[in-house]
Amino acid sequence: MAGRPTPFLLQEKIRPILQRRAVWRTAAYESGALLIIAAAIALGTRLLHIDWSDNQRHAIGLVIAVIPLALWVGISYRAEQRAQEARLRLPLVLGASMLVANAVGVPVVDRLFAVDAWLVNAGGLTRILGYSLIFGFVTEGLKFAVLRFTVWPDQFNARVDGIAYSLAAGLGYATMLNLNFVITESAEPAAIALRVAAITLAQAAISPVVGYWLGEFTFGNPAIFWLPIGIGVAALLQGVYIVLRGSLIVGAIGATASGSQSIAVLGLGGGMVALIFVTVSFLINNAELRAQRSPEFIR
Amino acid sequence: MGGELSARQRAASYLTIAIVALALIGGVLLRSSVENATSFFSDKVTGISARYPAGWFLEQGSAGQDFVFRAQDPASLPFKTTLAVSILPVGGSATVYDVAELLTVRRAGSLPSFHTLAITPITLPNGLAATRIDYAYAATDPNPYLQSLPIVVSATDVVVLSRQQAIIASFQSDATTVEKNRHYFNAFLARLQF
Repeated sequence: MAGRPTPFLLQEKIRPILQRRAVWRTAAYESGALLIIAAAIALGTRLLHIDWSDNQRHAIGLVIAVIPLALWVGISYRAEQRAQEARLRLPLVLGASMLVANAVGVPVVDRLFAVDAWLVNAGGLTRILGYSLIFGFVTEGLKFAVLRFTVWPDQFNARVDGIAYSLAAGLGYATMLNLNFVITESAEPAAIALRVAAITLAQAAISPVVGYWLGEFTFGNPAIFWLPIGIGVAALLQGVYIVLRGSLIVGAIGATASGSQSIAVLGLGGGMVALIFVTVSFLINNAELRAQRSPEFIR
Repeated sequence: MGGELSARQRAASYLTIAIVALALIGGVLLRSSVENATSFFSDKVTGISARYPAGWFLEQGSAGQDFVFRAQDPASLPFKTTLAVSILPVGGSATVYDVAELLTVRRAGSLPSFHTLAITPITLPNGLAATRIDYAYAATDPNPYLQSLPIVVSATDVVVLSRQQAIIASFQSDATTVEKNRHYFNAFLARLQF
């Protein structure tokens, strides 16, 4: 029965060249891989009980801080290069985001506003408001500026391009926050891994909110206030996430607790990624369907 | 580089920039309100009332302690910034300089590396004449097993004579951050009633 393979079988055996990279899938792979690596580092270093010197901590920290970037290059960027319609400016967006994070974002939040000096003792709602107004709006405003001056709207060929570019902007920003944390703090590798995962997952989860609205403003016809509202929602999510993460860490220290809530911190980050990815992809699919059913599309 | 914007996109971008700017102004106002938020303390026995920064730990003086109350910033490490009020009975003919001298002698005996830096007459916000004593000392951790360097503390006492007693409002802070923290003391003095 050894006949010629059917086209169906051929299709299965030959890896198809995708027209466009599946952004959600690759981003989900990266987030999952980061969660697993962070959990493995946290668990492994606690089991091994190694006394690291300061230099060793910094060196290990630098390696851990760039793991999300390495995952992005290995998964998303590689897939992007294989696609027919590659998004060519992803590295530009990522690099520009790193630059503005280091040149503007970190100095404004940590030194000009010095949020950690006066906000940590405030009540929960005040902390959410403070982190949203300062960290959230600075972060989202800068990522928006990067996207505006590098890719939006010229490089947007589909709504999902907003997601791909905003994820790159978020990853660049997160990488610089991670490096800043590792360089300024001398933390244990387990703490660094958790912090890097928490920061990166937050940026990965929240960045698509603005990316979605940039896509809508390219292909849809929303009212002008939706873009600032999108930035506001993203900023609020940043604030809520920081306070929740902080309460999980502080809540773990007590007479009967070890001070380790690594699973909860990772779960919060992973859960946020899953929730926002599902919500935004639903909104994009919905918008695409509405566009396809519109009389202009049918004509 | 990102390309030309349509009128709608441009308007949305300008609105976004405006909202971000407004948010930052809101952040400045929030910081000011959090840093200047106060709690009220009143001591019926001595008739002293004051407002101290919200979130600071308040300790009321008991027998054997030389203060009526003191508030400490739990977030300032390694030395907790402190605001305190104490009362010293004095004779009818005593002057603030006598009190200053007495305080100097007492502190020289109890505080390591104590140095008086300045004694100056001032006027309080309520118009009362007072004397300000600036001094410094080295604070060491009481736990001998903790390997830490002494901290240079910069402190200020403001002494007011009232009804045969000296009211002493004190401010102590790590010398490296004293100027940053001094606004707490200024606000504390402005609202201190006795």
